[in-house]
Amino acid sequence: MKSKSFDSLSDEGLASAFEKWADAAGEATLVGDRQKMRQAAYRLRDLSDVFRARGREARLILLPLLDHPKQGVRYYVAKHLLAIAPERARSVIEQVAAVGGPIAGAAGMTLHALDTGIFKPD
Amino acid sequence: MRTFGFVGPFQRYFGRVFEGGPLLSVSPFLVKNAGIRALLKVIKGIAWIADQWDKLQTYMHPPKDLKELQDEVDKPEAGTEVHHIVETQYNSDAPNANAKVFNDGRLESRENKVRIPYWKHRDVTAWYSTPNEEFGWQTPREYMRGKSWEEQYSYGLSVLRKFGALK
Repeated sequence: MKSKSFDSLSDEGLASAFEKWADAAGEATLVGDRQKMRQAAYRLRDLSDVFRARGREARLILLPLLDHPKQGVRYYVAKHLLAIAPERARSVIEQVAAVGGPIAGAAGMTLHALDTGIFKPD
Repeated sequence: MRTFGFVGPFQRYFGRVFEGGPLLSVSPFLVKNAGIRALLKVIKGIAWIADQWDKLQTYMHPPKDLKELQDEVDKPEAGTEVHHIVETQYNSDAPNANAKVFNDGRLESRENKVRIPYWKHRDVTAWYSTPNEEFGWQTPREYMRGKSWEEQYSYGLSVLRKFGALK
């Protein structure tokens, strides 16, 4: 699904798609499937663009996903929400980074990018 | 506390093994017989673990200090690979690929090479290859390309720390 198609979704539908692709990104990272990691990254990019265009209220719909049982979903949602709920999102990323494994490595690098100013969430 | 570091390699395998494989297509009889299929899957699983044993063992190694990782480059060990802290990018066509910019021997110097667990190397390489919001949806590799040696080296050490290879 391209970003054009995401445009037609309701906010709830968009959140559901974000959950799906965040999960796909997490699973691909765990199994080291680079092709699926790239595909999921591009879908998350497209979804993030649509969410940003809809504004803060729409993005807040993602907040409950910070408690999702899957590490990958929590991580990618937290990354997207850093500009909206910075303390809560960072805390989730810190928890993911502490667990170990490839998603934790990515989460650790997100914290590094935040602390060094490479990453400026918007 | 890192408690689930072992999950990655196992998940890589068990996510795929039950989809079947060449062994299961040996004959229609094997494919149809559920008991034999199950047995072959168990055998295949055991064979995979035996084959991967060294890689699974090294994945659980605790982080080491930089000198230790550098010294181990000259001591090959099953389940490990040599990693370049500043990526080599020998196969890149980019005009500012590291192989073209740092062509003075630094890329293959003792300073730039470490021996790390196989699966941690895979994790790091996959992460470097994936578009990332932190870099405006470029890959970390694309983002770092063209940066100074010092910047790339320092960044490379951070990657090794965060992925659990370096103290």
